[in-house]
Amino acid sequence: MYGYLRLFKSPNHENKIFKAQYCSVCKTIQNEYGWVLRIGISFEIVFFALVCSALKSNRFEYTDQTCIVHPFRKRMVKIPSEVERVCAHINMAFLKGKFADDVQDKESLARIKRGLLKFFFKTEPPLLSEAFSIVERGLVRMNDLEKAKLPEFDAYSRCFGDVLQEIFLWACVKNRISPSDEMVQFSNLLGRWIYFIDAMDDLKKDYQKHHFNPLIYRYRDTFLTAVPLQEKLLRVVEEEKKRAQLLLEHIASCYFRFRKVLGIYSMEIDDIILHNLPLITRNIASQYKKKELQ
Amino acid sequence: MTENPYKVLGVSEYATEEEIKKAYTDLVKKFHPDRFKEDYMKELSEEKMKEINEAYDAINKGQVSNGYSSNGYQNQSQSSNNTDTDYRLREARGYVFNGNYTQARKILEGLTIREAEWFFLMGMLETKEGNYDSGRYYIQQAVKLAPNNPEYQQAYNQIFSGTFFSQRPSYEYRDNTANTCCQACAALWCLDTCCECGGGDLVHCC
Repeated sequence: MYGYLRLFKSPNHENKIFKAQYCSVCKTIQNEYGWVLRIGISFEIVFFALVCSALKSNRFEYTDQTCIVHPFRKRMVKIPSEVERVCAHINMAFLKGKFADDVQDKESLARIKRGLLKFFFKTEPPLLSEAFSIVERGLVRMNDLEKAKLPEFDAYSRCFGDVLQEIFLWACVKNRISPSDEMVQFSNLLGRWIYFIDAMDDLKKDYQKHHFNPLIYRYRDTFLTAVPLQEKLLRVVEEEKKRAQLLLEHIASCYFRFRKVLGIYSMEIDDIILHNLPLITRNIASQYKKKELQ
Repeated sequence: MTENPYKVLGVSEYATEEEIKKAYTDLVKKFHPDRFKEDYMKELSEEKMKEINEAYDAINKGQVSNGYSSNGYQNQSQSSNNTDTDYRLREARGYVFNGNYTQARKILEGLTIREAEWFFLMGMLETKEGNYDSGRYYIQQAVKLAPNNPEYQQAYNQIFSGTFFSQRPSYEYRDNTANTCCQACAALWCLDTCCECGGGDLVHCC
């Protein structure tokens, strides 16, 4: 997807479980789609797989294996199960959706992406079709919203949150997991956070390239004032700090309500939710400030 | 148009016709597309102008009726005696605070009489569902309608400062089993020492 939900080196432990989960999803993608599409693996889906693994079973079984990226040193790989298989298809559904969206918007490299779409997704496994239909419906809803150019940011982020929630519920059905209301809301809020962070990150670029960004429409008044661009961006970021804080606290409060069922996975998920999410948010918000200081 | 027209024009729901007209002309002067040279800025300002014009038209034609129209609050005196609405609001409050958001929304959207409590519950519902902008707006309306209500005021302050969801266990929660054991042992030891001073002894060895 976007690669925001990544892992930083933890001062407490080595994040072995996350790394093993990453390798497991990566190897499953290779088995299902061939080695080239492994580069399309996203951190969000690895995190998704980690949560699903934790909800499915508290056991963590692994083997030591080498791969094309690490040919000499053996790495811990979580033994792939149905969770990884479902998540590999979800990963590809989002990748296909991203390519299809770029082709439709005539983004850069659209021709190459159209070719890749035809080449790699000639035949669709049934699980990919199911996952892609959810992503596709979400993209249609998002395109309609973008055409309407609404100034309400929540409408866009809710749309993306709903897609992630729907995908989560679908993955739960496929893995015979019965999620609680908090888990469902957690997936929705995480989707909203990803959308929010992406909009913040691309704000300057989108404004300069005249691309659609919901924050530009949300702060149309600020962007129409006669002040330097840097000043406009800083004003938007300052205003959006409250949303960021609310969102992070909301995600954490939801997470704490089901954290105890995650077993041995909870330490790694704690790191991402309670340390990395605020850190990534801070880093993205402060990028505009840094440029001003330079 | 989905946004509150009064909010778009930046005036209160109780603004007079003159105040509305003045706000409208000020906004037109500020955001008129002719003021901008770049095409992209022109496009943005055109969108803004469309929104301003729609809001002005909606207020003038009296199309706004969802509680924030000029006659929306006139129902307040009628509703104070309306036990059915009170009962429905109490029911909705229970659903909002117990996390049954679908049911709460169904009840709230079905109510036509909209007072401070309705705005407060709608604001709480929107915020708890992750729609912070509209949540803030509804709770702001509740505070305006009942400025002396501490519950509304507190919710508004928490949303505005970004601390609405802060009442959760801290991150140190992770090691709390060890901490609790240590704290219990330390407490026992302290109590025992005190007891010895007082002549009693719970644990003979210390």
